[in-house]
Amino acid sequence: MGDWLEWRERCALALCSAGAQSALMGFAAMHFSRLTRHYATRTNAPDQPPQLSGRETWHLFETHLAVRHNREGKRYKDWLFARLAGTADDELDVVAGGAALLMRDVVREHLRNEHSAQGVVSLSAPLAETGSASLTVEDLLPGTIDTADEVAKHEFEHLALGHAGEFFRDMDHREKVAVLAKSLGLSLADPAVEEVAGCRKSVLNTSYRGALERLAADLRRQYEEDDMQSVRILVLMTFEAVASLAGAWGVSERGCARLLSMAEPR
Amino acid sequence: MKKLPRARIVRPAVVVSRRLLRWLREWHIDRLLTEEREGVGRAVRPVEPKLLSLVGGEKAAPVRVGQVRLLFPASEFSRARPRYVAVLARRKEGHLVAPFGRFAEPAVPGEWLTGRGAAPLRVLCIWNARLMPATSVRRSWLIDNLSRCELDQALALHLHVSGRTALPERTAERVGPPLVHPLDPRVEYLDEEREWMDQWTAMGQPRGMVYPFPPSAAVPQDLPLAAEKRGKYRGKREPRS
Repeated sequence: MGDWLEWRERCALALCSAGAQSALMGFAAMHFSRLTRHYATRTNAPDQPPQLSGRETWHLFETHLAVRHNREGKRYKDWLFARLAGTADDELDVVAGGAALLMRDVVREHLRNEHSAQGVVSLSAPLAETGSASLTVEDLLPGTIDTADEVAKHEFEHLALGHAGEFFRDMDHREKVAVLAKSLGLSLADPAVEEVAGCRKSVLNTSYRGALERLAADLRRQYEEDDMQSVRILVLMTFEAVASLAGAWGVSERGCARLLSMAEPR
Repeated sequence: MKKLPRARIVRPAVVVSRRLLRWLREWHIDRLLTEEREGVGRAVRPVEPKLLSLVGGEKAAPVRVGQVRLLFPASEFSRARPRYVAVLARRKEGHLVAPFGRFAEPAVPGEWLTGRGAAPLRVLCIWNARLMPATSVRRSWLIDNLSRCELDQALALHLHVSGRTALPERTAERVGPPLVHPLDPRVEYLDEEREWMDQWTAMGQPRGMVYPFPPSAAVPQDLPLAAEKRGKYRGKREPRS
Protein backbone atom coordinates (compact mmCIF):
# COMPACT_ATOMS: atom_id res chain seq x y z
CA MET A 1 0.00 0.00 0.00
CA GLY A 2 2.94 2.30 0.76
CA ASP A 3 4.04 2.25 -2.88
CA TRP A 4 0.65 3.45 -4.06
CA LEU A 5 0.51 6.18 -1.42
CA GLU A 6 3.99 7.34 -2.38
CA TRP A 7 2.99 7.54 -6.05
CA ARG A 8 -0.09 9.52 -5.17
CA GLU A 9 1.82 11.99 -3.03
CA ARG A 10 4.80 12.48 -5.35
CA CYS A 11 2.62 12.80 -8.43
CA ALA A 12 4.91 11.02 -10.90
CA LEU A 13 6.50 7.60 -10.78
CA ALA A 14 9.92 9.05 -11.61
CA LEU A 15 9.85 10.96 -8.31
CA CYS A 16 9.16 7.80 -6.27
CA SER A 17 11.73 5.63 -4.54
CA ALA A 18 13.36 2.84 -6.51
CA GLY A 19 11.36 0.27 -4.55
CA ALA A 20 8.02 1.91 -5.31
CA GLN A 21 8.93 2.34 -8.97
CA SER A 22 9.83 -1.29 -9.28
CA ALA A 23 6.69 -2.47 -7.51
CA LEU A 24 4.30 -0.31 -9.55
CA MET A 25 5.95 -1.03 -12.89
CA GLY A 26 5.84 -4.72 -12.01
CA PHE A 27 2.15 -4.41 -11.22
CA ALA A 28 1.45 -2.69 -14.56
CA ALA A 29 3.48 -5.21 -16.56
CA MET A 30 1.86 -8.17 -14.83
CA HIS A 31 -1.71 -6.98 -15.52
CA PHE A 32 -0.89 -5.89 -19.06
CA SER A 33 0.55 -9.31 -19.78
CA ARG A 34 -2.36 -11.11 -18.12
CA LEU A 35 -4.94 -9.18 -20.13
CA THR A 36 -3.22 -9.39 -23.50
CA ARG A 37 -2.70 -13.14 -23.04
CA HIS A 38 -6.33 -13.49 -22.03
CA TYR A 39 -7.35 -11.67 -25.20
CA ALA A 40 -5.03 -13.79 -27.37
CA THR A 41 -6.46 -16.98 -25.89
CA ARG A 42 -10.04 -15.91 -26.49
CA THR A 43 -9.33 -14.93 -30.09
CA ASN A 44 -7.28 -18.06 -30.78
CA ALA A 45 -4.37 -15.88 -31.83
CA PRO A 46 -1.60 -18.08 -33.26
CA ASP A 47 1.18 -16.13 -31.57
CA GLN A 48 1.69 -14.83 -28.08
CA PRO A 49 1.16 -11.05 -28.05
CA PRO A 50 4.35 -8.99 -27.84
CA GLN A 51 4.88 -7.86 -24.27
CA LEU A 52 5.91 -4.40 -23.12
CA SER A 53 8.27 -3.56 -20.30
CA GLY A 54 7.09 -2.38 -16.90
CA ARG A 55 8.16 1.16 -17.73
CA GLU A 56 6.25 1.13 -21.03
CA THR A 57 3.07 -0.27 -19.51
CA TRP A 58 3.16 2.21 -16.65
CA HIS A 59 3.60 5.01 -19.17
CA LEU A 60 0.52 3.78 -21.07
CA PHE A 61 -1.38 3.61 -17.79
CA GLU A 62 -0.65 7.20 -16.82
CA THR A 63 -1.06 8.73 -20.26
CA HIS A 64 -4.32 6.95 -20.98
CA LEU A 65 -5.94 8.05 -17.75
CA ALA A 66 -4.76 11.64 -17.43
CA VAL A 67 -7.13 14.27 -18.77
CA ARG A 68 -4.70 17.14 -18.37
CA HIS A 69 -1.18 17.55 -17.02
CA ASN A 70 -2.21 19.43 -13.89
CA ARG A 71 -3.56 18.03 -10.63
CA GLU A 72 -7.20 18.34 -11.77
CA GLY A 73 -6.44 16.29 -14.85
CA LYS A 74 -5.06 13.47 -12.72
CA ARG A 75 -7.99 13.14 -10.36
CA TYR A 76 -8.27 9.49 -11.30
CA LYS A 77 -5.65 8.98 -8.59
CA ASP A 78 -8.01 10.46 -6.02
CA TRP A 79 -10.74 8.29 -7.50
CA LEU A 80 -8.61 5.19 -6.90
CA PHE A 81 -8.13 6.03 -3.24
CA ALA A 82 -11.64 7.29 -2.64
CA ARG A 83 -12.84 3.79 -3.55
CA LEU A 84 -11.66 2.84 -0.06
CA ALA A 85 -14.76 4.43 1.41
CA GLY A 86 -17.56 2.11 2.32
CA THR A 87 -15.75 -1.17 1.84
CA ALA A 88 -14.54 -3.63 4.40
CA ASP A 89 -11.98 -5.09 2.00
CA ASP A 90 -8.27 -4.82 2.49
CA GLU A 91 -7.03 -1.36 1.47
CA LEU A 92 -4.33 -2.64 -0.85
CA ASP A 93 -6.84 -4.95 -2.54
CA VAL A 94 -9.21 -2.05 -3.15
CA VAL A 95 -6.61 0.29 -4.64
CA ALA A 96 -4.89 -2.43 -6.66
CA GLY A 97 -8.29 -3.77 -7.76
CA GLY A 98 -9.24 -0.32 -9.01
CA ALA A 99 -5.94 0.02 -10.83
CA ALA A 100 -6.48 -3.40 -12.43
CA LEU A 101 -9.87 -2.20 -13.69
CA LEU A 102 -8.21 0.86 -15.18
CA MET A 103 -5.55 -1.32 -16.77
CA ARG A 104 -8.27 -3.10 -18.72
CA ASP A 105 -9.13 0.21 -20.42
CA VAL A 106 -5.43 0.75 -21.14
CA VAL A 107 -5.11 -2.68 -22.75
CA ARG A 108 -8.30 -2.18 -24.75
CA GLU A 109 -6.87 1.04 -26.15
CA HIS A 110 -3.57 -0.66 -26.91
CA LEU A 111 -5.29 -3.53 -28.76
CA ARG A 112 -7.51 -1.07 -30.62
CA ASN A 113 -4.44 0.72 -31.89
CA GLU A 114 -2.86 -2.59 -32.85
CA HIS A 115 -5.96 -3.53 -34.87
CA SER A 116 -6.05 -0.14 -36.58
CA ALA A 117 -2.52 -0.75 -37.72
CA GLN A 118 -3.52 -4.07 -39.25
CA GLY A 119 -5.37 -2.37 -42.06
CA VAL A 120 -8.75 -2.37 -43.71
CA VAL A 121 -11.39 -5.04 -43.16
CA SER A 122 -14.12 -5.66 -45.72
CA LEU A 123 -17.52 -4.22 -44.88
CA SER A 124 -19.12 -7.36 -46.28
CA ALA A 125 -17.09 -9.74 -44.12
CA PRO A 126 -18.96 -11.54 -41.32
CA LEU A 127 -18.29 -9.91 -37.98
CA ALA A 128 -17.35 -11.90 -34.92
CA GLU A 129 -18.14 -8.67 -33.07
CA THR A 130 -21.86 -9.10 -33.65
CA GLY A 131 -22.05 -12.52 -32.02
CA SER A 132 -23.47 -13.88 -35.27
CA ALA A 133 -21.73 -15.97 -37.89
CA SER A 134 -23.33 -14.12 -40.79
CA LEU A 135 -23.96 -10.47 -39.86
CA THR A 136 -21.86 -7.87 -41.65
CA VAL A 137 -21.53 -4.10 -41.40
CA GLU A 138 -23.59 -3.95 -44.59
CA ASP A 139 -26.39 -5.79 -42.78
CA LEU A 140 -26.22 -3.34 -39.89
CA LEU A 141 -26.14 -0.30 -42.19
CA PRO A 142 -27.88 -1.30 -45.40
CA GLY A 143 -28.89 2.21 -46.47
CA THR A 144 -32.40 3.33 -47.29
CA ILE A 145 -34.72 3.57 -50.25
CA ASP A 146 -34.49 7.03 -51.78
CA THR A 147 -37.30 9.12 -50.32
CA ALA A 148 -38.17 10.29 -53.85
CA ASP A 149 -38.80 6.69 -54.88
CA GLU A 150 -42.24 6.53 -53.28
CA VAL A 151 -43.53 3.70 -55.46
CA ALA A 152 -40.67 1.36 -54.62
CA LYS A 153 -40.90 2.25 -50.93
CA HIS A 154 -44.59 1.40 -50.90
CA GLU A 155 -43.98 -1.89 -52.68
CA PHE A 156 -41.27 -2.84 -50.21
CA GLU A 157 -43.54 -2.00 -47.28
CA HIS A 158 -46.28 -4.12 -48.78
CA LEU A 159 -43.92 -7.06 -49.25
CA ALA A 160 -42.55 -6.67 -45.74
CA LEU A 161 -46.02 -6.73 -44.23
CA GLY A 162 -46.86 -9.91 -46.10
CA HIS A 163 -43.66 -11.68 -45.04
CA ALA A 164 -44.07 -10.49 -41.47
CA GLY A 165 -47.63 -11.83 -41.30
CA GLU A 166 -46.58 -15.26 -42.53
CA PHE A 167 -43.60 -15.36 -40.21
CA PHE A 168 -45.47 -14.14 -37.16
CA ARG A 169 -48.07 -16.91 -37.48
CA ASP A 170 -45.32 -19.49 -37.11
CA MET A 171 -43.53 -17.84 -34.20
CA ASP A 172 -43.86 -19.53 -30.83
CA HIS A 173 -45.08 -17.79 -27.68
CA ARG A 174 -41.59 -17.23 -26.33
CA GLU A 175 -40.41 -15.55 -29.54
CA LYS A 176 -43.45 -13.31 -29.65
CA VAL A 177 -42.93 -12.21 -26.05
CA ALA A 178 -39.26 -11.50 -26.76
CA VAL A 179 -40.05 -9.35 -29.80
CA LEU A 180 -42.82 -7.56 -27.92
CA ALA A 181 -40.57 -6.83 -24.94
CA LYS A 182 -37.80 -5.52 -27.16
CA SER A 183 -40.17 -3.32 -29.12
CA LEU A 184 -41.41 -1.88 -25.82
CA GLY A 185 -37.84 -1.13 -24.76
CA LEU A 186 -37.91 -3.72 -21.98
CA SER A 187 -34.92 -5.83 -21.05
CA LEU A 188 -35.25 -9.55 -21.65
CA ALA A 189 -33.68 -9.93 -18.22
CA ASP A 190 -36.62 -8.18 -16.60
CA PRO A 191 -38.33 -10.65 -14.23
CA ALA A 192 -41.75 -9.69 -15.58
CA VAL A 193 -40.67 -10.51 -19.12
CA GLU A 194 -39.19 -13.83 -17.98
CA GLU A 195 -42.42 -14.68 -16.21
CA VAL A 196 -44.65 -13.93 -19.20
CA ALA A 197 -42.33 -15.88 -21.51
CA GLY A 198 -42.03 -18.76 -19.07
CA CYS A 199 -38.28 -19.01 -19.38
CA ARG A 200 -35.04 -17.37 -18.27
CA LYS A 201 -33.35 -14.46 -20.02
CA SER A 202 -30.67 -16.61 -21.67
CA VAL A 203 -33.29 -18.81 -23.36
CA LEU A 204 -35.28 -15.73 -24.27
CA ASN A 205 -32.26 -14.05 -25.80
CA THR A 206 -31.53 -17.13 -27.85
CA SER A 207 -35.16 -17.27 -28.99
CA TYR A 208 -35.13 -13.62 -30.00
CA ARG A 209 -31.89 -13.84 -31.91
CA GLY A 210 -32.87 -17.17 -33.46
CA ALA A 211 -36.20 -15.86 -34.71
CA LEU A 212 -34.67 -12.81 -36.39
CA GLU A 213 -31.85 -14.81 -37.92
CA ARG A 214 -34.33 -17.36 -39.24
CA LEU A 215 -36.43 -14.60 -40.79
CA ALA A 216 -33.40 -12.97 -42.43
CA ALA A 217 -32.13 -16.30 -43.79
CA ASP A 218 -35.58 -17.11 -45.12
CA LEU A 219 -35.82 -13.80 -46.99
CA ARG A 220 -32.29 -14.12 -48.36
CA ARG A 221 -33.24 -17.55 -49.70
CA GLN A 222 -36.45 -16.32 -51.29
CA TYR A 223 -34.71 -13.41 -53.01
CA GLU A 224 -31.31 -14.93 -53.65
CA GLU A 225 -31.15 -13.60 -57.20
CA ASP A 226 -31.81 -10.02 -56.13
CA ASP A 227 -29.41 -7.28 -55.23
CA MET A 228 -28.25 -7.98 -51.65
CA GLN A 229 -28.60 -4.34 -50.65
CA SER A 230 -32.30 -4.42 -51.51
CA VAL A 231 -32.76 -7.70 -49.65
CA ARG A 232 -31.10 -6.25 -46.54
CA ILE A 233 -33.51 -3.33 -46.60
CA LEU A 234 -36.46 -5.69 -46.98
CA VAL A 235 -35.17 -7.70 -44.02
CA LEU A 236 -35.12 -4.61 -41.81
CA MET A 237 -38.57 -3.50 -42.94
CA THR A 238 -39.88 -6.99 -42.20
CA PHE A 239 -38.30 -6.92 -38.73
CA GLU A 240 -40.17 -3.69 -38.06
CA ALA A 241 -43.43 -5.12 -39.33
CA VAL A 242 -42.98 -8.16 -37.08
CA ALA A 243 -42.41 -5.81 -34.10
CA SER A 244 -45.66 -3.99 -34.94
CA LEU A 245 -47.54 -7.28 -35.15
CA ALA A 246 -46.10 -8.29 -31.78
CA GLY A 247 -47.37 -5.00 -30.34
CA ALA A 248 -50.88 -5.65 -31.61
CA TRP A 249 -50.72 -9.26 -30.39
CA GLY A 250 -49.61 -8.10 -26.94
CA VAL A 251 -52.71 -5.93 -26.56
CA SER A 252 -55.02 -8.92 -26.95
CA GLU A 253 -52.82 -11.42 -25.08
CA ARG A 254 -53.91 -11.46 -21.46
CA GLY A 255 -50.51 -12.15 -19.92
CA CYS A 256 -48.87 -9.28 -21.78
CA ALA A 257 -50.88 -6.45 -20.21
CA ARG A 258 -48.25 -6.15 -17.51
CA LEU A 259 -45.50 -5.64 -20.09
CA LEU A 260 -47.51 -3.00 -21.90
CA SER A 261 -48.16 -1.16 -18.65
CA MET A 262 -44.45 -1.18 -17.87
CA ALA A 263 -43.83 0.84 -21.01
CA GLU A 264 -46.33 3.47 -19.86
CA PRO A 265 -45.16 6.61 -18.09
CA ARG A 266 -44.32 6.11 -14.43
CA MET B 1 -38.08 -17.40 -57.62
CA LYS B 2 -39.48 -14.16 -56.17
CA LYS B 3 -38.27 -10.83 -57.44
CA LEU B 4 -37.96 -7.56 -55.56
CA PRO B 5 -39.12 -4.31 -57.16
CA ARG B 6 -36.34 -2.08 -58.43
CA ALA B 7 -35.52 0.74 -56.05
CA ARG B 8 -33.11 3.64 -55.84
CA ILE B 9 -31.05 2.95 -52.76
CA VAL B 10 -29.13 5.54 -50.79
CA ARG B 11 -26.08 3.78 -49.42
CA PRO B 12 -24.40 4.97 -46.25
CA ALA B 13 -21.14 6.84 -46.73
CA VAL B 14 -18.11 4.59 -46.45
CA VAL B 15 -16.78 6.81 -43.68
CA VAL B 16 -19.90 6.00 -41.63
CA SER B 17 -19.58 2.27 -42.19
CA ARG B 18 -15.90 2.40 -41.31
CA ARG B 19 -16.71 4.26 -38.11
CA LEU B 20 -19.15 1.52 -37.16
CA LEU B 21 -16.56 -1.13 -37.95
CA ARG B 22 -14.04 0.57 -35.67
CA TRP B 23 -16.60 0.89 -32.90
CA LEU B 24 -17.56 -2.78 -33.20
CA ARG B 25 -13.89 -3.77 -33.05
CA GLU B 26 -13.41 -1.82 -29.84
CA TRP B 27 -16.59 -3.23 -28.33
CA HIS B 28 -15.48 -6.74 -29.20
CA ILE B 29 -12.11 -6.20 -27.53
CA ASP B 30 -13.88 -4.78 -24.50
CA ARG B 31 -16.13 -7.85 -24.25
CA LEU B 32 -13.22 -10.23 -24.56
CA LEU B 33 -11.29 -8.43 -21.85
CA THR B 34 -14.23 -8.36 -19.50
CA GLU B 35 -13.98 -11.10 -16.97
CA GLU B 36 -16.01 -11.07 -13.84
CA ARG B 37 -16.34 -7.60 -12.31
CA GLU B 38 -12.99 -7.94 -10.69
CA GLY B 39 -12.19 -5.56 -7.90
CA VAL B 40 -15.33 -3.43 -8.22
CA GLY B 41 -16.55 -4.38 -4.78
CA ARG B 42 -19.79 -3.32 -3.24
CA ALA B 43 -20.15 -0.68 -0.61
CA VAL B 44 -20.87 -2.58 2.58
CA ARG B 45 -21.41 0.24 5.01
CA PRO B 46 -22.45 3.88 4.77
CA VAL B 47 -19.82 5.60 2.70
CA GLU B 48 -20.40 9.26 3.48
CA PRO B 49 -18.10 10.13 6.37
CA LYS B 50 -15.09 8.26 5.06
CA LEU B 51 -15.70 9.26 1.48
CA LEU B 52 -15.91 12.92 2.35
CA SER B 53 -12.63 12.72 4.23
CA LEU B 54 -11.01 10.98 1.27
CA VAL B 55 -12.19 13.46 -1.33
CA GLY B 56 -11.61 16.64 0.60
CA GLY B 57 -14.75 17.06 2.65
CA GLU B 58 -17.22 19.69 1.57
CA LYS B 59 -14.73 21.64 -0.49
CA ALA B 60 -16.08 20.40 -3.82
CA ALA B 61 -16.33 23.21 -6.35
CA PRO B 62 -19.82 24.60 -7.01
CA VAL B 63 -21.55 23.24 -10.08
CA ARG B 64 -21.58 25.49 -13.12
CA VAL B 65 -22.61 25.06 -16.73
CA GLY B 66 -19.73 23.96 -18.95
CA GLN B 67 -17.83 22.05 -16.29
CA VAL B 68 -16.35 18.60 -16.77
CA ARG B 69 -16.47 16.63 -13.54
CA LEU B 70 -15.36 13.21 -12.28
CA LEU B 71 -17.94 11.55 -10.04
CA PHE B 72 -16.93 10.37 -6.59
CA PRO B 73 -16.83 6.55 -6.42
CA ALA B 74 -19.80 6.45 -4.08
CA SER B 75 -21.83 3.72 -5.80
CA GLU B 76 -21.22 0.58 -7.77
CA PHE B 77 -21.83 2.68 -10.88
CA SER B 78 -19.03 5.10 -10.15
CA ARG B 79 -16.69 2.54 -8.56
CA ALA B 80 -16.45 0.35 -11.66
CA ARG B 81 -14.62 2.99 -13.66
CA PRO B 82 -14.01 6.74 -13.47
CA ARG B 83 -17.20 8.42 -14.64
CA TYR B 84 -16.70 11.80 -16.25
CA VAL B 85 -19.70 14.01 -16.95
CA ALA B 86 -20.25 17.38 -18.61
CA VAL B 87 -22.69 19.93 -17.20
CA LEU B 88 -24.60 21.17 -20.24
CA ALA B 89 -27.27 23.44 -18.86
CA ARG B 90 -29.08 24.59 -15.77
CA ARG B 91 -32.82 24.17 -15.64
CA LYS B 92 -35.44 24.68 -13.00
CA GLU B 93 -35.44 20.94 -12.23
CA GLY B 94 -31.66 20.66 -11.98
CA HIS B 95 -28.53 20.47 -14.08
CA LEU B 96 -28.52 18.76 -17.44
CA VAL B 97 -25.59 16.35 -17.25
CA ALA B 98 -24.22 14.06 -19.97
CA PRO B 99 -21.69 11.29 -19.39
CA PHE B 100 -18.55 10.73 -21.43
CA GLY B 101 -18.17 7.32 -23.05
CA ARG B 102 -15.23 4.96 -22.76
CA PHE B 103 -14.67 4.26 -26.44
CA ALA B 104 -12.77 6.20 -29.05
CA GLU B 105 -15.65 6.30 -31.52
CA PRO B 106 -19.23 7.51 -31.07
CA ALA B 107 -21.63 4.54 -31.12
CA VAL B 108 -24.87 6.17 -32.27
CA PRO B 109 -26.10 9.50 -33.63
CA GLY B 110 -26.66 10.67 -30.04
CA GLU B 111 -22.94 10.40 -29.27
CA TRP B 112 -20.53 13.12 -30.27
CA LEU B 113 -16.81 13.01 -30.95
CA THR B 114 -15.51 15.98 -29.00
CA GLY B 115 -12.17 16.23 -30.77
CA ARG B 116 -10.32 16.07 -27.46
CA GLY B 117 -7.20 13.94 -27.26
CA ALA B 118 -7.64 12.80 -23.66
CA ALA B 119 -9.03 9.27 -23.78
CA PRO B 120 -11.68 9.73 -21.05
CA LEU B 121 -13.15 12.79 -22.81
CA ARG B 122 -13.23 11.75 -26.46
CA VAL B 123 -16.94 10.95 -26.79
CA LEU B 124 -19.85 12.70 -25.10
CA CYS B 125 -23.04 10.61 -24.79
CA ILE B 126 -25.76 13.21 -25.21
CA TRP B 127 -28.50 10.58 -25.55
CA ASN B 128 -27.83 9.49 -21.97
CA ALA B 129 -28.07 13.02 -20.48
CA ARG B 130 -30.09 13.48 -17.30
CA LEU B 131 -31.42 16.27 -15.18
CA MET B 132 -29.72 15.98 -11.81
CA PRO B 133 -29.98 18.06 -8.66
CA ALA B 134 -26.92 20.17 -7.96
CA THR B 135 -26.34 18.29 -4.71
CA SER B 136 -25.82 15.05 -6.65
CA VAL B 137 -23.63 16.61 -9.32
CA ARG B 138 -21.56 18.31 -6.68
CA ARG B 139 -20.37 14.95 -5.37
CA SER B 140 -17.57 15.06 -7.92
CA TRP B 141 -14.23 16.66 -8.69
CA LEU B 142 -14.00 19.57 -11.09
CA ILE B 143 -11.64 18.46 -13.86
CA ASP B 144 -11.90 20.93 -16.70
CA ASN B 145 -14.29 23.17 -18.62
CA LEU B 146 -15.84 22.81 -22.04
CA SER B 147 -15.02 25.60 -24.43
CA ARG B 148 -17.90 27.81 -25.60
CA CYS B 149 -17.76 26.07 -28.97
CA GLU B 150 -17.85 22.59 -27.41
CA LEU B 151 -20.77 23.53 -25.23
CA ASP B 152 -22.68 25.01 -28.19
CA GLN B 153 -22.16 21.86 -30.25
CA ALA B 154 -23.18 19.60 -27.38
CA LEU B 155 -26.36 21.61 -26.83
CA ALA B 156 -27.11 21.61 -30.56
CA LEU B 157 -26.89 17.82 -30.57
CA HIS B 158 -29.07 17.67 -27.47
CA LEU B 159 -31.74 19.71 -29.23
CA HIS B 160 -31.44 17.46 -32.25
CA VAL B 161 -31.73 14.26 -30.22
CA SER B 162 -34.82 15.78 -28.62
CA GLY B 163 -36.23 16.04 -32.14
CA ARG B 164 -36.46 19.79 -32.08
CA THR B 165 -33.85 20.85 -34.63
CA ALA B 166 -31.84 19.57 -37.55
CA LEU B 167 -28.27 18.65 -36.81
CA PRO B 168 -25.71 21.29 -37.77
CA GLU B 169 -23.40 20.02 -40.51
CA ARG B 170 -20.19 20.38 -38.53
CA THR B 171 -21.68 18.31 -35.70
CA ALA B 172 -23.16 15.72 -38.07
CA GLU B 173 -19.69 14.69 -39.18
CA ARG B 174 -18.78 13.82 -35.63
CA VAL B 175 -21.65 11.66 -34.44
CA GLY B 176 -22.08 7.88 -34.55
CA PRO B 177 -23.74 5.78 -37.25
CA PRO B 178 -27.50 5.19 -37.28
CA LEU B 179 -28.85 2.19 -35.38
CA VAL B 180 -31.35 0.24 -37.46
CA HIS B 181 -30.76 -3.48 -36.94
CA PRO B 182 -32.24 -5.27 -33.92
CA LEU B 183 -29.23 -7.58 -33.57
CA ASP B 184 -26.71 -4.76 -33.64
CA PRO B 185 -24.38 -5.11 -30.61
CA ARG B 186 -24.87 -1.42 -29.92
CA VAL B 187 -28.31 -2.26 -28.52
CA GLU B 188 -26.60 -4.15 -25.69
CA TYR B 189 -24.12 -1.33 -25.18
CA LEU B 190 -26.90 1.26 -24.92
CA ASP B 191 -28.78 -0.89 -22.43
CA GLU B 192 -25.68 -1.19 -20.26
CA GLU B 193 -24.87 2.50 -20.36
CA ARG B 194 -28.44 3.49 -19.60
CA GLU B 195 -28.49 1.10 -16.68
CA TRP B 196 -25.30 2.59 -15.27
CA MET B 197 -26.76 6.06 -15.43
CA ASP B 198 -30.05 4.85 -13.97
CA GLN B 199 -28.09 3.71 -10.93
CA TRP B 200 -26.70 7.19 -10.48
CA THR B 201 -30.05 8.82 -10.97
CA ALA B 202 -31.89 6.33 -8.76
CA MET B 203 -34.30 7.37 -6.02
CA GLY B 204 -37.09 9.01 -7.91
CA GLN B 205 -35.09 10.57 -10.71
CA PRO B 206 -36.15 10.03 -14.33
CA ARG B 207 -34.93 6.80 -15.88
CA GLY B 208 -33.01 6.80 -19.12
CA MET B 209 -34.49 6.95 -22.56
CA VAL B 210 -35.01 3.83 -24.57
CA TYR B 211 -32.97 4.46 -27.67
CA PRO B 212 -35.42 4.87 -30.57
CA PHE B 213 -35.62 1.40 -32.00
CA PRO B 214 -36.80 0.15 -34.39
CA PRO B 215 -36.55 3.58 -35.96
CA SER B 216 -39.89 3.68 -37.68
CA ALA B 217 -41.70 2.30 -34.64
CA ALA B 218 -40.42 5.03 -32.39
CA VAL B 219 -39.29 8.17 -34.09
CA PRO B 220 -36.94 10.34 -32.00
CA GLN B 221 -39.28 13.28 -31.60
CA ASP B 222 -41.84 11.04 -29.91
CA LEU B 223 -39.43 9.75 -27.32
CA PRO B 224 -38.54 11.28 -24.00
CA LEU B 225 -34.93 12.15 -23.49
CA ALA B 226 -33.20 10.66 -20.51
CA ALA B 227 -33.19 14.12 -19.06
CA GLU B 228 -36.92 14.57 -19.31
CA LYS B 229 -39.74 13.16 -17.31
CA ARG B 230 -40.58 9.82 -18.80
CA GLY B 231 -43.23 10.30 -21.43
CA LYS B 232 -45.37 7.68 -23.01
CA TYR B 233 -43.42 5.41 -25.29
CA ARG B 234 -44.39 6.29 -28.83
CA GLY B 235 -46.78 8.80 -27.39
CA LYS B 236 -47.03 12.25 -25.94
CA ARG B 237 -44.14 13.71 -24.06
CA GLU B 238 -44.73 15.72 -20.96
CA PRO B 239 -44.11 19.36 -21.67
CA ARG B 240 -40.73 20.71 -20.80
CA SER B 241 -40.78 23.74 -18.60
